This record gives sequence, C-alpha cells and structure tokens, in this order.
Amino acid sequence: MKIPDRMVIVNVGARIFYDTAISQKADAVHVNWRPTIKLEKDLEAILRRIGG
Amino acid sequence: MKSIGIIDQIAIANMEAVGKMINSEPELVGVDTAVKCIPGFKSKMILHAGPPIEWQDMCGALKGAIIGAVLHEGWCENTSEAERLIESGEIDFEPCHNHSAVGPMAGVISPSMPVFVIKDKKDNRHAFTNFNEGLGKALRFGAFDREVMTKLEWMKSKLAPILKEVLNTIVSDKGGIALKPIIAQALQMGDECHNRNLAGTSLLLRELIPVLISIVDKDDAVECYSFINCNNHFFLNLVLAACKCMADAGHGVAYSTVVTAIARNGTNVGLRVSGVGDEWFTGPAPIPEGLYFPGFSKKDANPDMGDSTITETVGLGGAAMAASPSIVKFVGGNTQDALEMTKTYKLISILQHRHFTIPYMDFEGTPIGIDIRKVLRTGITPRANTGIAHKCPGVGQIGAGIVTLPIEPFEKALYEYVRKYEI
Repeated sequence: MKIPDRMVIVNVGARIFYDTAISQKADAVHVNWRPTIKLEKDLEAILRRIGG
Repeated sequence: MKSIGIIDQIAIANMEAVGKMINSEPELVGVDTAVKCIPGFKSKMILHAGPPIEWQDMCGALKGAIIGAVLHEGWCENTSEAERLIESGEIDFEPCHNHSAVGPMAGVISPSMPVFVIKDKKDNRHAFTNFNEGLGKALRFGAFDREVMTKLEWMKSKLAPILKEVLNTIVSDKGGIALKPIIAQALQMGDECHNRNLAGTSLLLRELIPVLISIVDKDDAVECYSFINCNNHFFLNLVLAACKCMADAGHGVAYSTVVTAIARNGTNVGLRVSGVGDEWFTGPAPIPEGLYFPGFSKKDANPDMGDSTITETVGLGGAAMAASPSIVKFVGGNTQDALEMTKTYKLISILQHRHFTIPYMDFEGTPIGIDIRKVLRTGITPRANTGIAHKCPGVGQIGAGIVTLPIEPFEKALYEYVRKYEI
C-alpha cells in the first residue's frame, strides 16, 4: 500500500495523543469522544424513569 | 386535563430553577459585623466553608483558620489554649451556607469579623461574605501568624469602617452596587471570576473611588485604595456572595434536579440539589492538580476546600474557563484546556447564561444549571480551578490548580431525590 504524502491524524478519545501529534507539527484533529459510562443497574433504572 | 409525566415535570422545574438563578440581581449594599447581621449567628460560633464537619474530622488548613479566628476574637491568648477551648465543645461550628454566607478556602467567619452584605434586588434575599485578605499567608489558607492576625485586625478596625461609610453613601445616593453587570463585564475582560478577579476588582474600585476620595481622609483613602488595588482577589468574595444569591434563588423548586450549591471543607465535598431541600450530599474532597509555589509539591497539599465552587454552580469559574485564557498560567494547562472545560460543562448543564457570555466563543452564554442526571449519565463531574492550601495548620497557600469533583455526592443526591418523590 502506498502511504500518502500528506497524512492527517484523526484522534478519538484520549487527548494526550492529539497533543503529542500537534507538538510534533503533525496535521491532526481531535474528536472529543468518550465511551458510554457503565452505571450500576439501579442508577441506570432510575435514570431511565426520570430522564437525563 | 392530561397530567404531565415525570420527565416533563422535571424539565419544567429545572427551567424555573435556572431561570431564577439567571434573573437574580445581587447588589452590594453594605458592611456590617458578622454576629449582628448573619441570621442565626451566635456569640460563640464560627462558620466554615463546605458541608458540616466536626473539629476532630477537620483538615489541618481548616483547623489553622479556626485557631486563628479564636485568637482574633480574643477568646484565648495562644494556640494551645485555643485548642483546649475548641476541644471543650464550647464553640459551635456550622457551615457558612447554612447561614446565607459564603467564604473562599477555609471560609472562616467569626462573630466580630466584618462582612459584606449583598441583597438580591429581585426578592430581598441576603447573602454575606468575609473580606478577602490577599494571597499567600492568609487565614483562609490556614495561616495565623502575627502578620495574618495584624492584617485581620486592620481590616476590622480600619478598612471595614471606611468601606461601610463609603457604601452607605453610595447606597443613599443611587442604591446598591449592582454586581451582576460587573461580573458580566469582568468575563469580557479575561476573568472567569473564581481564580481570576483582576478585572472585577478593578471595576469595583471604579465604583468605590469617587466616594472614597470625596468623603474619607486622604491618608485613609490611599491606604484603603492601596490594599484593594494590591489584592487581585478582592472581588472574589463579592462574586461568591453574588453567586450565593443567584443559587439560592433557584433553590427549593420542587422536582428540580439542578445543583444549587457545591462546597468543600478540606475533608469532604458537599452539594445541594434544588428539589431535595437543604440536605448535603457528600464525598471525599480530592487534592487538586496544579502548579505549586517554589519549595512545595502535591505531597504538601490539603484536599480541596472552600465555598468558592458556588461560582461553578451559576456558570462562572470552571464553567467560564474559556473566558479566561490567562488563568491557565496560574492553575496549569493551556488555553485549549480552558475552552474544553467550558464545552464539557455544556454537557452537564441545563442552559446557557443570558448575561454571562464568552467573547472567544462568539459570545455564547456560559453553561449554567448543573443537572445531577446529566452528571450521572455522562460520568462527567464538574471541574473547578482553585487555590491549594498546605495540609498543616499555620502555613497558608502553596499553589493553585484544577480539581475534579467526585461522583459520589451526585449518586447520593439522586437516591435521595427518588426516595423523596417516591419515583
């Protein structure tokens, strides 16, 4: 596979990788994503009832 | 008529609570002695920051501030006498918040201390706060050496009477000093109004100076001006009391899940929720991540403390970090972090403020109305920038940084919410 001359890094999640790429003058964008939190079952049930 | 479901009921309640917060109009109306004006204050009582706590559970910095207050009141001659008096149980300790008051860091207010009186023009609600001593060695960071005690005495005997006279004149001429416009303008000038209050202090001085120089002896006026001018945090305490008025305006709305107080006592973090009443929901206070003064490090740090997170409750401080790129030089991080912090607050907040806006974000309103449901759903807890006190009594401030609040108080609040409303 031919590696393109110009690469853009799309960083998803931990921001430290994006900051490192930028500090090395790489072309990067950061997606501020985090995994859905896993709640205790009773909290999950409450939030289902009252929204949020 | 069709009844509405619980989710809609909560949405309506939250809009009402946050609307009341946004529309509150706190004004600085005077200076008085704490025991004379703070509701429920007793002659042998000391108020402190954060949720309730007993002497034996207090951290070093709070103990130091309380010992200093005991000495300041003249109840004892020295530290060991003060500790004996405290351990005898003769002095009552209660949270500032339980008496319509707020104070940064240790937040200690003793009976004879002067306090600012703030009044919400909308509903005659009052809030009270002590005077800010400046950075470094200060009672609020647990220091109580001769320098600290001399300054406290000067603030009581010299500064307070002057400011009282000045404010009385201003109030009789044109009414109280409206604090919300000053805060709103300070945000435009680079303050986030928690750890940076340079603009706010300058704007307050513009209100005070014309009267100060016209009715006060020249030397006294210069001394008073110089003290305020040399303390970039002077306005902080007034911001806190203004925020207390705003937050209390939104407190007590049935079914609301909006947080109306966040406060730390150096041992625990506590929060209150509008629809749940005056109960505190607590968790352990974390140690901030930050920048330390030379010679100090994280191992010297006291866990987080102060009522100052009332700012984050109403859309200032951490919620307004994007307004204050320069604050990151004081608390650590970079300007992108400041922007991200404000954006993250949007994920856990109900609305954006109509009056508090951020130039760098095209004048978007700051996020306001932290919803315990959103916090639990996202796992994002509020972050605040804060001062860092030494963990031992008597040392004082050793740095400043960012603190991330624990999730435990939010979980406890939610459980109590569903118990109260039988949902």
